[in-house]
Amino acid sequence: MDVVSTTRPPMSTAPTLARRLNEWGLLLGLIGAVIGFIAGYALGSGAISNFYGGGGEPTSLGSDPGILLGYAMSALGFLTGMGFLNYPIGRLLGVKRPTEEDNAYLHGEGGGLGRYFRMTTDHKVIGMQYMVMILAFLFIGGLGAMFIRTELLTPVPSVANAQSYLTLVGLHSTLMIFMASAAIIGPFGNYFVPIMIGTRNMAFPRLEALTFWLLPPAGLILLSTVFLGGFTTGWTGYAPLADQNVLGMDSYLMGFALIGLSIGLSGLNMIATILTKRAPGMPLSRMPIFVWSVLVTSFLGALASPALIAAVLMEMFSRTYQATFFIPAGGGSPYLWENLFWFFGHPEVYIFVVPAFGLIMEMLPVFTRKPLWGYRVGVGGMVGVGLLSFVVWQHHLFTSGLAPSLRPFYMFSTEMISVPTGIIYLVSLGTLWRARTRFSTPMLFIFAFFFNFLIGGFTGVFLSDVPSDFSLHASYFVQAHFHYTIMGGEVFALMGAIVYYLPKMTGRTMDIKLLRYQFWAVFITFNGTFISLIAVGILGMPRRAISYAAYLQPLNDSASIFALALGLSMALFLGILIWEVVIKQRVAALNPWESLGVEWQVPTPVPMFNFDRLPVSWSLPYDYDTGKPAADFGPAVPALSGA
Amino acid sequence: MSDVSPTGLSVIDEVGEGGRTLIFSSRLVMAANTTLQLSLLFGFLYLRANNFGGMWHPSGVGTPPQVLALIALAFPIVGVLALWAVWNAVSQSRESSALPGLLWLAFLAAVLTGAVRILLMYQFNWTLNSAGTYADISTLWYAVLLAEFIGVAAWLLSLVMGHVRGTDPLGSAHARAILEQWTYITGVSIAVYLLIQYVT
Repeated sequence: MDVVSTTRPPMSTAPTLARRLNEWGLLLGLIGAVIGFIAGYALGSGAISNFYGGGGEPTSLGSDPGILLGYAMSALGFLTGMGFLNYPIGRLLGVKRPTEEDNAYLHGEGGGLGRYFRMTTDHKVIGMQYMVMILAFLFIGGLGAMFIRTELLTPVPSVANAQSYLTLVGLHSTLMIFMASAAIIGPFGNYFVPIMIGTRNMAFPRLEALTFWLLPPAGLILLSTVFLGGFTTGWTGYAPLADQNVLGMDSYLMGFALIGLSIGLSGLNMIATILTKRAPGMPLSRMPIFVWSVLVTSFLGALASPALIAAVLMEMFSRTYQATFFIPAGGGSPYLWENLFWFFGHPEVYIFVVPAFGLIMEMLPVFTRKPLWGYRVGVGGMVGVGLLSFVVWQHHLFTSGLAPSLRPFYMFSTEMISVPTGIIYLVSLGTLWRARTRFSTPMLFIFAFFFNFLIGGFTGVFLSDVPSDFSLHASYFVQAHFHYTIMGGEVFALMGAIVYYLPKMTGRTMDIKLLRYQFWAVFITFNGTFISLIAVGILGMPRRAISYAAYLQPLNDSASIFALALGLSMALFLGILIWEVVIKQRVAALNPWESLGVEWQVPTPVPMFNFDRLPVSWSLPYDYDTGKPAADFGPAVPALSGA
Repeated sequence: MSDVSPTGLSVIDEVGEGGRTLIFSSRLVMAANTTLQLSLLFGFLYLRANNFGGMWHPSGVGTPPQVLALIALAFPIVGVLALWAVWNAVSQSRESSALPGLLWLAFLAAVLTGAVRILLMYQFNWTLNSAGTYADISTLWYAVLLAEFIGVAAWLLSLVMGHVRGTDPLGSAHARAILEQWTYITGVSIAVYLLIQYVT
C-alpha cells in the first residue's frame, strides 16, 4: 500500500470571509471577551438572579451570579472570536465538511507570523504558543514573588496590608500552578510527541488548539481578581473562607475551572494520540521515555481534573445560590472541599513533575553518549508514581482532623512514592555510570534537577510522616519543600529543555557560555533562597503570614536577598532568550547535541506535516553505542513548506 | 515493510480521522466522566453519612416529583433504543430508508429528555440555603446530568444533520460512539435517580 501523500492543493487566491476573520483571531477574541462579559454580567446580575435564588437583589458580597456568568460568557466570547465555534456550528447545521484546502489553511499553510496569534491546528505552532504563554505567566508570577519577598524584608507590614498581601500570595501561587501544570507538556509535549511517535498531527487537532486557547482567558480572569478585592485563600481555595470571600474569589473559581478543563481535555487528546496514532513499527516498548511520561501525566490529568471541577462547581453553587456544601451550620463540611481538592491536587503535583522526569531521562543519554540504562524500569517508576499519586491525598489532611486510624495508611502510601521515585533516580545514575559525560549547559540543568529534587524529596519525607508533619505543617518548611520540587525540579528541567530544544523549535540558539553564568547564578540563588526558608520553617514561621517574630529577620532577609537575585537571574534567562532568538537571531546547527532522537532527524524547520512519509523500523532512540538512528525515514524526500 | 501499525491502524487511518481513535477517545471521555460522577457520589455519601447539624435532609424537604423523574428517565431510554437501531443498521451497511427516521427519533428523545429535566428541576422548589445538603447535591447532580445530556444531544444533532443533508453520511464508528455515550449517561441518570429518590 502506498503511503499517503501530504501534498496539498494550492491555496485559493481569494480568501473567504471566514479566513479573513481568522487572521484577526486574537483581536476578535479580545473584543468577543469584552462583549461577552458585559452581556453575561447583565444577564447574570439581572435575569438569572431574578429567576432563581438570588431574588434579583445583590447579596452583601455583591453579585456573584453576575460575575461568574460574565466570566463564563467572556471565555465563550473569546473562543467565539478565535473561531472555535465555526466548525461545531457548521456541523450542527449540516453544512459541507471543511475541504482539504480549509484544513491546510487552519493547519497554518501559507505560513507567516499571524498563525501564532490565531487558532491553528499545527501542533508545532501550538507548542510555540504554549511556550510564550508559559514564559509570560512565569514572568508575572515571578514578579509577584519579588513583591512578596520585598514585603518580608521587615518583620512588620511595610508596603502592603494583610489583605493585599494575601491576595498577592494567592495570585502568585495560582498563576504559578497555572504555569506549572502546562509548563512541559504544553510546549514540548505538543511540539514533540507527534514527531516522536511518527504521526502528522494530534488525534484531535482542534481540541488541542482549544486546550491552549482556554488558558489566556483563564489567566485574564484570574488577574482580574485585583479589581474585585482579590482572594485570601491562596491557591488551595479552602472553604469556608472561600464562601466568605469577596467577589475576587469568583475569579479564582472560574480561572481554576477553565484550567481544570484544559488539563482534562489535553490529557484525553494526548492519550488518544499516543495510544492510537503511533507510526508503523512502534509498540509501546519502543516509545521514547518522554512520550511515556506524557502518557502517564495525561492519565493523571484526565482522571483527576474532574474531581477539581466537581469541587469548583460546588463552590460556585454555594456562592451563587447559597448552597451549603462546605458550611457546617447548613449541613456541609469544609473537609468535603479538602478531600475533593486534594484528590485532584496531589496528582496535580505529579502532573508537574513526571514530564520533567521524562525530559531529563530523554536528554540524559544524549549527554552521556550511552543508552538509557533500565528503560523499562524507568517506565515502571513513572507508572508507579502515577498510580500511587491517587492514594496519598489525605496526607494533606493530617492536621485537619483526619481520623487517627486512617493516618498510618496515608503515611505509608505517601512514603511508598519514594520507591518509584528512587527507581527513576537509579535509572539516571545507571546511565551516568562510567559515561563520557558532556557537560553542556542543558546537562548542568539536569544535574541541578537531580540535586534540587533530592532535597525536595528528602524534605517531603518529613511531611509524609505524621509526627513531624504536625510540627511542620503550614510552615515555611512546606513552602520550601514544594518550591524545591516544582521550581527546583520542573522549572530547572524546563530551562534545560528550552536550551536543548530551541535549535529544533526555532532554528536559533542561545549563547551557551553566557548561559553557564546564568545557570550558576540561578542555581546558587535558588538554593540560597529556599535553604533559608527551610530553616525559617523549622523555626516555626507560618506561611502566608505578613508579619513574623524579630529573631527570624536575618533568615528572612537572607531569603529575600537571594530571591531578588534569583529573580534577576531568571530575568537574565528571558533576556538572553529574547536577545538571541528574536533580536540577534543566532543560527543554530541542525543537530547541535548529536542526538539520535527522531525529532532531530527531521529537517529544521520541521515540515508542515512533519514527515513526507511515515518513518518505519523503529528502535529506542538511545543507541549511542552504535550510533544507529531511531527510525528509518526511507529515501530522502524534499520537505514541504516549513513550520 | 508493513504499513500496518501495531495499534492496528492503517496509515490512511492515522492520517485521516480514524474510527478506532474516535471510539477509543469516546470511552476515555466516559472514564473521565466517571471520576466526575464518583466525586459527586462521594459528596452525596459523605454529607449523608455525617449529617452535620442534622441538616442533611431536614423535615419538610421533599424528594423530586416521582412521576416527572420517571418520565425524565423514559425518554433517554427511548433514545438508547433508537440509537441502538441506528448503529445496528449502519454497522451492517444496510441501506435502510428508516435510518433518517430513527435518527430523528433519537434526536426527538434527546430534546424531550432535556425539556423534561429542565421542568423537573424547576419543580424541585427547594430554597437551597435552608433545604439542607441533600437538596444542594441533588440539584447540582441533576444540573450536571442535564448539561451532559445537552452536550450529547448537540453531537447527535450534528450527526443527524450531516446525514440527512448528505454532507457527512453517518459512519459506524460515530454511530457506535454516540450510542455508548448516550447509554452511559442514561445508566448514570438511572443510578442517580435511585440514589436521590430512595437513599434520602
